Amino acid sequence: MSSIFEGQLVRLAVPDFERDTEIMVAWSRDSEYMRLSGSEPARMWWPAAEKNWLKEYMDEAYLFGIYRREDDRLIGTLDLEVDNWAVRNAWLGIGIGDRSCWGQGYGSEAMRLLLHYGFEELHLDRVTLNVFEYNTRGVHVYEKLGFKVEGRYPKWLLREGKRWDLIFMGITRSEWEQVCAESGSSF
Amino acid sequence: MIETPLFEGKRVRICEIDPEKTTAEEARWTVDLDVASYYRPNAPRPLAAFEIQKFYEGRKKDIESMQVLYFLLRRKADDQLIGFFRVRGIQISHRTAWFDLVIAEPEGQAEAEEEALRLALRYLFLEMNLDYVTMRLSETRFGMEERLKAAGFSLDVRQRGMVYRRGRTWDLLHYGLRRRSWMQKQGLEVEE
Repeated sequence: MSSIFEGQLVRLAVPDFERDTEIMVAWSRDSEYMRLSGSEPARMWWPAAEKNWLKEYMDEAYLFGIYRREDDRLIGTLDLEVDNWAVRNAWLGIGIGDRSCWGQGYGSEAMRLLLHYGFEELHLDRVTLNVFEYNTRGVHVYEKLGFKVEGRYPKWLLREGKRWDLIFMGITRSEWEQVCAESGSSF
Repeated sequence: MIETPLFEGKRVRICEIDPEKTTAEEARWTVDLDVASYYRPNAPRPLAAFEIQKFYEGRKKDIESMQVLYFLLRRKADDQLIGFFRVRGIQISHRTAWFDLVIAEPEGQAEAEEEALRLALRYLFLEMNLDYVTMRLSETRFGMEERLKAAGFSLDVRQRGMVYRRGRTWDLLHYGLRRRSWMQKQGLEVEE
C-alpha cells in the first residue's frame, strides 16, 4: 500500500514516544543543533519533559517524526501548525537531529512530503517558516523547494557576540503548484 | 531621581489590566473585527465579556511571570478606556520583542495612537531596554502604518495574504525599529 507519507529516503510517522524519546533527548545535547532549532538559550531536555512537550504540542500541530527508510531510525522531526484557517496558513518547523544525516537530502524530501500533505490534504493556501541567517544550508534548501524570502528582522538574534537576521520565508499554493509542474511530479 | 513619567502622556495614560472590571468595555470593541482579531486571531468574531475574561485567564501564567506584558490605555480627560498596549514575543537574551497597540475608540483615534505609540516606545526602549522591536499589523490598518513610518519604523517583512478581511486577502506587515535609530531621533545619547 503506497502512502503519501513515504518517499525514497524517508517516511513520516507519528513519533514512537516509548522507543524514540531518548534519541530526541540526545539531540538536545548538541548545541549546534539547538542553535539551529530555536531562539531560546540552548538547553538540554530530559525524557519525561521531552515526551510531555511533544504530546502537548501534538494538540496544536501536525507533528511527524522523520524516519530513515534504510534502517527505520528516527533522524528528525517536522511539523505544521495552522495559525489561521481563514487564510489557510501554517507555520512549518523542521529539525534533523542526527547530524550524520545533514546534507544528505533527507530533510528536503521530508519537507516535500509535508508540503504535499499540507497543500493537497489540508487544503492550505500558504506555508510559512522562519530561519536564522547563519543557517545557510537551510535557506538554500527552502529556496530550492520554492519558498520565497518575505523579509527579515535585521540583527534580531544575538549569539556568540554577533547579531544575525531572522529571515521570514513563505510559499503560496500557486508557487507550490508551479514547482510541481516544473519538476513534473505531484511533489 | 528619574522624574519623567513612564505611563503618562498629555492625553493618554497607560494603565493596568483589570479583568474584573473592564471586560464589558473591551468586549464592546470587538464588533470591529480588526480589534477582535487581537483577542481571537483565528476566525475573529464579536466576543462577550466572559470571553474576554477567559482570554485573560488563559494568559494568567504568562502575564504573572512577565512572559508578556499587557496594559490598557485610557484617555486622561475623562478616564475612558480607549485601547490596549501589549508586549509579546519577549526574547530577553536577544533584547527583542514585538508589540500590539490598538486604539479601539474612534473619537480622537489618530492623536491617541500617536501619543500612545510615543509612550509605548519609551517603555520598550528605556524601561525594557530592548534593542529591536516590531509591530505586526494587517495592511488594512492604514492610519497606524503612517504613524509607524513617521516614528521611524521600517517595513521589514511583508507576509503575502496572511490576513482575510472584507472578502479578500491582505498582507501582514512587520514594521521594525532599532533602539539606536529611536534614540537618535529623540536626541538622546546613544550608548555604544
